[in-house]
Amino acid sequence: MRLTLYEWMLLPFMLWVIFQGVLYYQATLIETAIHQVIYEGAKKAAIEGRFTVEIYDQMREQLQEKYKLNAEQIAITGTEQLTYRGEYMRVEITAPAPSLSFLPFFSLGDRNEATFWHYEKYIVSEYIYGDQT
Amino acid sequence: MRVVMRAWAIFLFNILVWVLLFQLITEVKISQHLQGELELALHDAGLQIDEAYLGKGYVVFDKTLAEAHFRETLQRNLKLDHKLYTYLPELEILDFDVIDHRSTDQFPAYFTITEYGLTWEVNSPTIIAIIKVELPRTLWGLNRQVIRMSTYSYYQRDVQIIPLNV
Repeated sequence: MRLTLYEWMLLPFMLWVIFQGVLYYQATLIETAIHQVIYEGAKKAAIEGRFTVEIYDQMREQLQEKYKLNAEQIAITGTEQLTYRGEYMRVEITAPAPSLSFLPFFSLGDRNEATFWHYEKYIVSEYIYGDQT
Repeated sequence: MRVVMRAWAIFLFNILVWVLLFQLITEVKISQHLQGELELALHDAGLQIDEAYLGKGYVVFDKTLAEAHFRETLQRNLKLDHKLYTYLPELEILDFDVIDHRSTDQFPAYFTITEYGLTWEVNSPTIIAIIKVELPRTLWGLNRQVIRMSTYSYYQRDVQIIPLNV
């Protein structure tokens, strides 16, 4: 009886071990996906010399269609002024973070408050003066 | 007493599994992110070419400027300070080399790293970089290293280029 009781008491910890790793792995995959989208978008912007609405839309679309993130919650801002070759351009992306806690009593902070990931990257422009790309 | 010991053993085993899993996933994540950051930094370094030579049809990298841009992009994107250190982990540039029309007479050229016994063929002007990060080991106090390598090449059309050094 005592053994059964002890093992039942351990059930939350067992569930935590099983699912917490999976949640962390899923969050890692989403984080990697966001980074890949930033790299691809930044390279396109480097050729055009600025971040355009089309590039933002493509980045959002990729995150929504391939990685099932809510596009409305993704905010992307970047250097929209024409930047010439050799100068740095900046892009900033804010995306909703997935849930990282399986059981409420293991979570830190307010569960009702949505958390966001924020990334900022820089890339040098390739755009040459007079280039009509 | 045996029951209590068994319960504790299960609990501690669970914690150990979680810590190892967390560590493994973090290492994979850092490795993937470093590859992306390295490619972005190499892109910026690859743009630093000598325009005077380019006008004559040669791709010659300004190595000093390329390396400076490489470091700056890594610093900006990985939020490192000027020594290329962040609080943890530590990042080190193991190798930064260029193969262009000035450094070689003909392509394909061969790039070798004697330390790892690696040699590979380069078919056009290329920048090569290798970076290393020391990851703190969560258990047993051992450090783990993540080493990533990447290249940035200019596509060369199949045309005859007279060697620059002749």
